[in-house]
Amino acid sequence: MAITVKFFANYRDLMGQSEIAIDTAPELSVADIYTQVLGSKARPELRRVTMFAVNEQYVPADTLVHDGDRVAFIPPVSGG
Amino acid sequence: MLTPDETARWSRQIRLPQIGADGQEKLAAAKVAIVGLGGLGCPAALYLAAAGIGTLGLIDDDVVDPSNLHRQVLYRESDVGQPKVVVAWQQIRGLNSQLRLMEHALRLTAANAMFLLADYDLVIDGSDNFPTRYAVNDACVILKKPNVYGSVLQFEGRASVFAPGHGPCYRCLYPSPPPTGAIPGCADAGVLGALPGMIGSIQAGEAIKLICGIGDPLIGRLLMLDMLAMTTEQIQIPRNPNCAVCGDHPTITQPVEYADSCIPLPVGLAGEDYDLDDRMTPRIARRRLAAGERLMVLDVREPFEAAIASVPQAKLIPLGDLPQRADSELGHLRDNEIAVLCHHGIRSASAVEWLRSHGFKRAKNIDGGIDRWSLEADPSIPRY
Repeated sequence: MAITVKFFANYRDLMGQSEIAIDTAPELSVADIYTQVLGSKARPELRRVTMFAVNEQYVPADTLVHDGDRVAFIPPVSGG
Repeated sequence: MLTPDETARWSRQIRLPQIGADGQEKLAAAKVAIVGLGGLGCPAALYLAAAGIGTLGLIDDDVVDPSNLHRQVLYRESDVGQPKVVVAWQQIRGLNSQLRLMEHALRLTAANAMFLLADYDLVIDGSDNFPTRYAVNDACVILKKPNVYGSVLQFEGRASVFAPGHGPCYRCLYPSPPPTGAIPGCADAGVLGALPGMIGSIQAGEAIKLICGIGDPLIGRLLMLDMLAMTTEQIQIPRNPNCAVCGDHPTITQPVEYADSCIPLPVGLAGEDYDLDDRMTPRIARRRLAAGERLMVLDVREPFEAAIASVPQAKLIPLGDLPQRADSELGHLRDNEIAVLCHHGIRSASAVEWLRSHGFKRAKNIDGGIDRWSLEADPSIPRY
């Protein structure tokens, strides 16, 4: 299935871009997509505090992703 | 009732049918607390004062620093070193002499948040660190006061309204704060000055809407502004029924105190030198280098920062490049001690966590970074 993954804050620095389009196997959860996309760049301490959204809607990490979905990784930001 | 002078003064706002004289009177009766007089608090305070808010509480324990001036628009060069609440008070009083201004020249903490915020109707969170944000959130939920949230980093701004009883709170989005070092702040990652100007203005606008009871406030929506692409999106956020503070069976009934992630020192060690498995002070690092030890110092800052100030013996690999370069350039040091340095000790703490989880078992943080190195170990290194 074709999905778009959007990166915010730290993930933009980590991935060097703000979004990517990927083609993945079906029946994957947001957590699976996370592991696949981050690969060796995965940082457990960042993963623990990351909020996930699918199609601009907050979701838990075990939510299944569907073809055409937009998945977002949104870490907290505290700057003022 | 508004006097003719007051009606004339706010005529452009009263003319809006959604506001009118009625709304203007609501604003005059409102009491708003602004937590943090930084990039967000400055524009929020200015616009709220200008709009005719009756009482503004200014809460900040900081003094004006030259590095604040690019975004904190209440302050001038001549204010450097002055307490922010004092300078802000002078500036804002000149804008609206009828305004009742309360100065709180202290840091809002979990211990004083309930007391500080109790007398206000609404809170603007313009703070710059996680412990304060969680203290504001918890206190607002417990006191049932709307919390108008904003945050900024680099080119990304966020805003939302956490209105107890009407939508989620900050803990519904992020149940607990990140570990020290996981998330950089403006001092480490930078911020474009106009960005907090936009987000702080959004916060002022949302506060005015809430007070007047008009429009659709950002309740249950996280507004995300990307200034580089100049796009916005909104994430729909439900209230979490299991939320520890605003859920159906809350376990948090008083604001929770978290260690200040800006000062990543273990309790009891502040001010003393230490050399532990996972962290050390800059003074110890310098002493060991001066004694001729082959201590590997890894600098994870960006090249432009190293050009401003650096430790001669350090090897530079920016944090973002570490995953690609660690094996080839540090692979032979897996069993060696690696002391990791950045500006303030935040990015380096991230690097240490990454290194340790990738086989570099003796990586350790140089707490406080090169800034503390300059202050405590080697004043010849410039501060920036």
